[in-house]
Amino acid sequence: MKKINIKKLSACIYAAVIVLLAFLFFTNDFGLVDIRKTAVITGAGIDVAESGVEVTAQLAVPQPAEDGQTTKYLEVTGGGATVSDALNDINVKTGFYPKLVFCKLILLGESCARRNIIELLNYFFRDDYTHLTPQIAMCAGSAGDMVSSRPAFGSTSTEAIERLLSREAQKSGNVAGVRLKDIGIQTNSRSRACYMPYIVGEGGVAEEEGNASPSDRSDGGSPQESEQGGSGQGKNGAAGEKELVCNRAALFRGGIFAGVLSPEDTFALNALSDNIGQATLSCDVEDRIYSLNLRSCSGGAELRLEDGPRVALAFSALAQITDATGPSSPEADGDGVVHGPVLRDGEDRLKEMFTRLYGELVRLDCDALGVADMLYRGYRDRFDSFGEDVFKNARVECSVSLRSSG
Amino acid sequence: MIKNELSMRQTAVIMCVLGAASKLMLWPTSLASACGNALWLPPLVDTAVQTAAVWAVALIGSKTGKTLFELFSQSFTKPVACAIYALLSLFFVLSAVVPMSEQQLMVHEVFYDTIPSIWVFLPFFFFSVYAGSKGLTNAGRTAECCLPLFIVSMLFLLSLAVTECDFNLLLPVLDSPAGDIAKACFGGMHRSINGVYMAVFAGNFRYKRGDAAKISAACATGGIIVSAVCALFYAQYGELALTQYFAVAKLAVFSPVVALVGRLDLIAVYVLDAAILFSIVLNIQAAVYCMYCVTGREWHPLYSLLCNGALFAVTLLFNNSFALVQRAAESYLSVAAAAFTFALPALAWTAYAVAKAGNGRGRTAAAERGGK
Repeated sequence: MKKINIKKLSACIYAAVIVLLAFLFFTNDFGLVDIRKTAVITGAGIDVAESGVEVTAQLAVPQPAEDGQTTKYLEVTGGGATVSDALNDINVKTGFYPKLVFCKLILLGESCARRNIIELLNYFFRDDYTHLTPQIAMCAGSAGDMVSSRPAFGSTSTEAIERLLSREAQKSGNVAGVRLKDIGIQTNSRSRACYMPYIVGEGGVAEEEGNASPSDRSDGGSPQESEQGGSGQGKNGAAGEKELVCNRAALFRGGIFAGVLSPEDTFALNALSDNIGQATLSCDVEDRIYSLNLRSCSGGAELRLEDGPRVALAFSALAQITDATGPSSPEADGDGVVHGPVLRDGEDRLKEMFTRLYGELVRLDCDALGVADMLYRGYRDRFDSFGEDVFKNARVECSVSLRSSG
Repeated sequence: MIKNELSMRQTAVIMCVLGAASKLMLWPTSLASACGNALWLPPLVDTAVQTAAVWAVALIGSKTGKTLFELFSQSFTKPVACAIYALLSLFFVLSAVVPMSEQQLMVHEVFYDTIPSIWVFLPFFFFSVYAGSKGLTNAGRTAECCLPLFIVSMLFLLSLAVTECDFNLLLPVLDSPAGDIAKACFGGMHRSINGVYMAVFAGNFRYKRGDAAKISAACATGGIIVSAVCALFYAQYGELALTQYFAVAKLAVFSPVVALVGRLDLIAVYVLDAAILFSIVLNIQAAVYCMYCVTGREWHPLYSLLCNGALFAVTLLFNNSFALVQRAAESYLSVAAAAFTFALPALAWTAYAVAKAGNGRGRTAAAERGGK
């Protein structure tokens, strides 16, 4: 019988034990969590209140398998001087240990326009668990109410808003999808301006304000808090379902609210931010309205300094007619070619949109296109002479090119 | 019998993989804090210095075929060689403190929800005692094992990261004050000690023609990887990079793949962590080798236990004072690192010259005796 080498065996056992222990340490198997005491925050709404900050968190509470239900959603509101205090208040009220790892949405209420949003978001910038990945948006009325409301489409409001702000939705150019990281980077840039989607719950504020036209909302001032915004929807979603519309953008300069862009201006901003894949544009030629589908879109803003500062706004896309008013025939539509007058009208409309957007940004004193940042990064030596307000003094040139995809 | 033989390939892999791995945790954040969007430059400068030192020491090894300890003993007497290697041993132990603390923090931050008790970190020391007592041959083998892990995990993380980068954030190039960049280069010296490692490895493998150049190229490759990670990190976070700790765990979080599937990147971070673990243990292995040279006795387990005991004491003492440890390392350990990086090749060449002159004199004397 072969003799067992005790020395070799003990070395093997020692090696196996330390590998096992090291594996446990590096994979956090010491940190098992009791799911009955855990609440995963899927979205948070922040409102500014008299006492400081109110945070309404939508909690996904994992359920033990024996309950026959995988996840239960709760909305809990906590208050305090800071967001951290408010989250701690939630812990005090519920006993749940709130985890922000899965927080995918931060919603700022209208009342946040009274404060610097960077101060409000400071907790999320400091917190290492959110990773700056959550989508961020501002909403009309109370963020707490919106988070607690039951959406018309989707089981929870955070899920519905996340879908509204998804990359797929951004590709249409209607939504200005922005992450927490973008807010931090843009606010810390030389332009000091950032923007985020502005969500209105239909049946909520927009309706209550008498369906205010988008241009009415571009007032550049602090939005008024809706009186019914806070009471129209109960914290537990007692009121009816809301349709969420999110085709506007809220602008901020240095973290301070500057205004809300109209849907057309928001579309133009998205087109110039080169975020869109395909979009729809209406043209009016000879009393017929054509719906153009724009594909392979490419847009951007560029700063040039020859003969003084000039901002060149450029956009190009392939166009295809998807619909039109008036009579149509297979012979006329069959070739799929978008004719010159339709393309010219589409280009003119886009140029008009870009020019109006730029004027609106100048009026609101908000360099959302990042012109000052372009100056700093591209022409560092001339930054001091033109300064951060270069975008206000620059001439604007629009160049739009639509080509028929047929 | 503890073996210390290495091959050229193993040495090159150590220089490239283990040299780069331990720099990927907190250094990018420190560099962003020190010199903004020029954070990619200090790793390149430090690597250039280290590559020159590696080349100089490797060349000496190829000319003599001896370890530096043997060369110093021959040229400067054994007590001098022992003193140099005792200091080297202490230096290696101290050099392990910052990466070890960083790894502890990274694991707690990335893989844990709450900060666990310090005793949870004990398995690291069990592992370190075991691996530290195994000699340089073991270091070479583990480096070879780490090579595919490092390549796969880095490729995975970088490919996820690159799609979400805005390289405009790296502009304007070299806008940071030269003083800040120089300070960052100096502060990072305690992390870039490939030249000092080479002093330990020299003479422990058989040289062939061109080996010094190959090892130096591997060292430079490791530095370029670190610099690239720093650049990608800043291109993702811009000025927010200053507050984002543990770059490798943050590189891929914005990828659409991660958004869809979940933290898939953590698998790569786990794998990379294995390479980081071995890169920290390399310091212990080098310290143990130096102790063996000084004492001449193969008491590796005891030496490893001593080194790890010292590290454990430091961990207990400075558990919640990492910022202090980091500042001390940047201020004082970097001086020691710079001194060893520049002094060891100079001493090695001096020793070589002395030995050569001694041999020449010996041959002349022998010839004279033969003539008589």
